[in-house]
Amino acid sequence: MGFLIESTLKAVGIITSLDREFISIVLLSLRVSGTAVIIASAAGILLAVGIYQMQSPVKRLLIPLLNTSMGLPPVVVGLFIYLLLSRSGPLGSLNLLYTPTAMIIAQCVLATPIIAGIAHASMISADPEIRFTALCLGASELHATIRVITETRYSILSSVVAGLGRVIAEVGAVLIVGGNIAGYTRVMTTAIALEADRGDFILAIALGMILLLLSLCINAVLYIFQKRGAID
Amino acid sequence: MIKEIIAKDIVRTFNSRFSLHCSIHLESGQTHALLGPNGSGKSTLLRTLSLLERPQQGEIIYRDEKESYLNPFSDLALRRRVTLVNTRPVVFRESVLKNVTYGLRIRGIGRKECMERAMEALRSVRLEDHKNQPAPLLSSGEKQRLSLARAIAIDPDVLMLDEPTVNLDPENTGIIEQAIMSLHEKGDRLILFVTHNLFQARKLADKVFFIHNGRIIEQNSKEKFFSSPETELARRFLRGEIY
Repeated sequence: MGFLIESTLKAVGIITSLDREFISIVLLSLRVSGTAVIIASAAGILLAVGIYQMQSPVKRLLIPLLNTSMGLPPVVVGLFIYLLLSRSGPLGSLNLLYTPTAMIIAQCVLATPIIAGIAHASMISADPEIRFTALCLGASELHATIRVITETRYSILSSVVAGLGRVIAEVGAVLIVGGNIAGYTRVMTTAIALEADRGDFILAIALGMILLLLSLCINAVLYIFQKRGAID
Repeated sequence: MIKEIIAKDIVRTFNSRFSLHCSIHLESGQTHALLGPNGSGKSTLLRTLSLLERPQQGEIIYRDEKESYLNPFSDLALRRRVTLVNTRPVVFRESVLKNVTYGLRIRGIGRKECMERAMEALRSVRLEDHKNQPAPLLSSGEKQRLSLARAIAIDPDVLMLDEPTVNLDPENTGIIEQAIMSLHEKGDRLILFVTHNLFQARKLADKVFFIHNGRIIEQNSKEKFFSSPETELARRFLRGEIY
């Protein structure tokens, strides 16, 4: 117990002293996951709108496919991206393996179906009369869809926050495609795994505390969006 | 200005039990009431005539001073001259004023004109004092009035209303009826409304259509329909024997 308290106090010390290695790991995590979520939000919302507007029977196939993709195992995504980006893979010439860009790609693949799935579900569950009312008032198909998006804005924002929550805590994919290189591709989750493996728990605890804090902030934002959506 | 709407042999089949199969002729300057028992196809006909749902067969012709438009379901410019107010008012999650300006904003109308027309429409349904209130917080009667204000602000050539005062108290009903009458007084608008309220049909309509099982059984002037209906079904409907 004493060991745990001592390690925790030292971890607090690392956080308050703004240790350089610690800060660079946190910033890289935020940069990688933030960029991935921005790209995934654009792709996911567009995908959701595309499926929502689709009239073709293919839609019946796409929705279960999308729902299945929401639970993609990160290690499988990591392996798939690794095979694509490795020297012998189809995108090997881009030399992206073991770079932050590869990590962003992997996290995008993980976050896009989550954002698309939740955004699509909220558009579908919105009152179907919203779309019809907009059309009655002279809206084009595009305007009517924008209206539905506007009406479900808080649920769609929730999907983005859920996507961020998923990728920032993810370790499997970024470890495979990033390689956990110190000062270059080492993010919070991979650093925690490595430090715990080494038996050096102080940095791991410090990073774990920041990860928990971020998770708390993400869930607080999610709660606020859901509450506002319910009130409006 | 739309002068007339002609629907010829339009057919919409939903299942083996119900199909709409009818023809109808509506003229500008007239308020038309569409009466009929529940499930007779009134709302389906309204949605089809307002160009929001296509019939499986038949044709709909819109005619203005210059030309005729055959089945103009994809003609957005024409569709914007027609507005349908639904039975169940759906309001957007924004202020009352923004709800009213929605139809104007998507038509690219400038902010100043938007505000003027929206305020005029709100005054016509006595909601001007609620303009900054979130629309979802209105009462059901106020929401229905807001629904009508959204349509009035657009100033459509053709206004269709699906049971505009169903489940409303006399005060809200009176305000909505007054607003419809004011629009009728402009003289050149085509108004079609569905109602179960025979007193309302007498009060507002010039012409009455009676629909039963997807067929228009009778069409007559208001006076003739209520004093001496031609068909036994219409007589039974007026006596309250079918509903």
